[in-house]
Amino acid sequence: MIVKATEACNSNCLYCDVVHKAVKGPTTMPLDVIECLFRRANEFLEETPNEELNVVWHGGEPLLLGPGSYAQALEFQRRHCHDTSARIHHSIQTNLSLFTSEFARVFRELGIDCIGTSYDPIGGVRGPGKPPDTAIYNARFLRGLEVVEQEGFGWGVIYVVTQFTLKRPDALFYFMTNLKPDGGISFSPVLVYGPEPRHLAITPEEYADFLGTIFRLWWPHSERFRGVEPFRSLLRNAREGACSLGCGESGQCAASHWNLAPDGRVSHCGRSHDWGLLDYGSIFDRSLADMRRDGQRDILAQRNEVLTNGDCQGCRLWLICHGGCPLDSWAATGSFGHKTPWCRATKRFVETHFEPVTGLRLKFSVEDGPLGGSEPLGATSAQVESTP
Amino acid sequence: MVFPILVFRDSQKVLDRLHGHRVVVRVDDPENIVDAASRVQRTGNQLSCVICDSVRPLSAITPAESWAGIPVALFVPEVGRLRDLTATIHRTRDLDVHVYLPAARPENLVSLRILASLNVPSCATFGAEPPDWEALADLMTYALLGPIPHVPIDPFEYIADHYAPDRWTQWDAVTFSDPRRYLHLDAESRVALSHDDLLAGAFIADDLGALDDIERHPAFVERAGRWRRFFAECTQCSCCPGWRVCQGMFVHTVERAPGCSAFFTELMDVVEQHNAKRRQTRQPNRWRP
Repeated sequence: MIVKATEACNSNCLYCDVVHKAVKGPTTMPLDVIECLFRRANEFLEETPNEELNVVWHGGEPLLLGPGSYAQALEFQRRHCHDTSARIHHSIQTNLSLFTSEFARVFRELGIDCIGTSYDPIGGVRGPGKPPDTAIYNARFLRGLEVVEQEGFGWGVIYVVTQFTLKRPDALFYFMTNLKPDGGISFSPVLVYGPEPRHLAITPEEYADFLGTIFRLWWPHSERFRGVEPFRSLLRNAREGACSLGCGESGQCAASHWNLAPDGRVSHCGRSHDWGLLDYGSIFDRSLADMRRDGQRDILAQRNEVLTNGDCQGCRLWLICHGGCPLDSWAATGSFGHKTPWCRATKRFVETHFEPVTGLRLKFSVEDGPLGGSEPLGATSAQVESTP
Repeated sequence: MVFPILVFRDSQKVLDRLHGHRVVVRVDDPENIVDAASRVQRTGNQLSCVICDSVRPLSAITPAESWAGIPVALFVPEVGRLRDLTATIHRTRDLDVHVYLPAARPENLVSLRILASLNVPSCATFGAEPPDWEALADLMTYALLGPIPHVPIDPFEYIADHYAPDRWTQWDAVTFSDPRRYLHLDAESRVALSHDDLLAGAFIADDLGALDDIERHPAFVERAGRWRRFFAECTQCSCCPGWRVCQGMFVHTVERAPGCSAFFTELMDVVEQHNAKRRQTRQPNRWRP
């Protein structure tokens, strides 16, 4: 459950969907929506005793709600989820700029011990104002990070690869791994869907080659640079037969995701909400179980079958890619039934960089295992061949 | 955190205000080492070592037999004439003496290698002037991977001892400059976070009584978080593969002597080889900074 607690943000990152959304509803989630979330969570978990619920506080900038709102959320959870709260897990994705000890206290009570954030030292991409004031943003981020570490929280960081990054891939790799030497770093491509900001956009091939450049720094010293994604996951896939890189490549999101908007509307995920797609209705009107059975999900559930008989037929990387994120498919083709342009990045990175450097050859074709769907993929579905 | 070791110039007045502390006393003249150590023992404090800041070359210093049992950190500008050193080196070797030499002097890099091969533990120190990074890399490789028997050369051995591949390695303590390990007192018992701070008059407290919770002291917290200033943008240091070991220590010299990046990057590779090799053989246990 991605809880878009607010669509307001104290930053104006150039590539952010929320910042540039054309039509905006209420920006901040009222307490009655938060309370209803926990009523619905309890109802859902009582009905499905084998399920757990991961609540991801997201935004906009979720710390704009203030610590009091999270204390209230905790109170709602205690009030409404007496017998199910052990199966509710919280996490948060924040720019850290407002993080304080008061947040730390309530987050600890919510069971959060690790905080997700993102960062970019390159100027002009992130920050308040137009153009974004990176100096202010970075100073606030580092101050927040100081509190995070003093309060004993773990943290993980996403680096968004833009056209600016491509000029200095080595420098950015070392910067991020110096900042976070114990890992928990993910290099993700900037996703630009509209006409702007085209100057930040990168092609799948550029992303693959960026990864290839830094992979050559990572691979000889993977003990030194542990926990760098997508390398760690890909290597785990190769060595242990795990199948998947991230949520976008899981091939299983049909049954696993909800997004709760500030006005109480439930959509599939953050991007589907931003784009006005896959609206499952209001949390006040429908139960989570009911929304999980929503017919709009069928097209996502059928996507694996469609792709393995279509765009992805015979692809040896199917089980770790699953044709990419359905929303990317929609953005590129207007349909969820196609692979995404980012599949080219996965294929190019594996074939041009990963396999030549490691000497491993990946085999994750559909013939090697089940078709995905909502069933967990077995470890036997992946094979690795070592080349001499 | 264990309360830091206190470093101060040999002073009965300062010692009289301390009890039960681990201390390092500084003297200028090697002749005063024994007296300084005795004074510490008489006051119920525990001697960690005696620092001797000598202006004389090592060859001009004659270690006394009475230094036996006293850990000595002997800071000298140079080794001096080797033929003079031969008369005293056997005693230096048998005592618990660690010789510190400035790395910026090219001849000292050779001297450090000679001392190590003569079984005298030593340490290269760094100041305002950068060393010859290429020559230092040779010394570092000799220190950590050289097959000829020799005793440790710091800071390389210290770094190897404390190195973990997935975190930063801090080695200020090897020169008594890490406030988590060492605090520095002046003659009035005012407290500074480093010897340089003390010389600059930058005190964080008027006496130790104000430092019950040193970890939360604003100056201590500020010092511990100083690294963050490097990460507000992509700087030469924050984007450097060697950051994990140097942490911007040479930011003031990197423009005119950029070899530090290659040096610390190579150092990590060598340390990893050294540590892999060392898992099979352990060195004898001597006093180490």
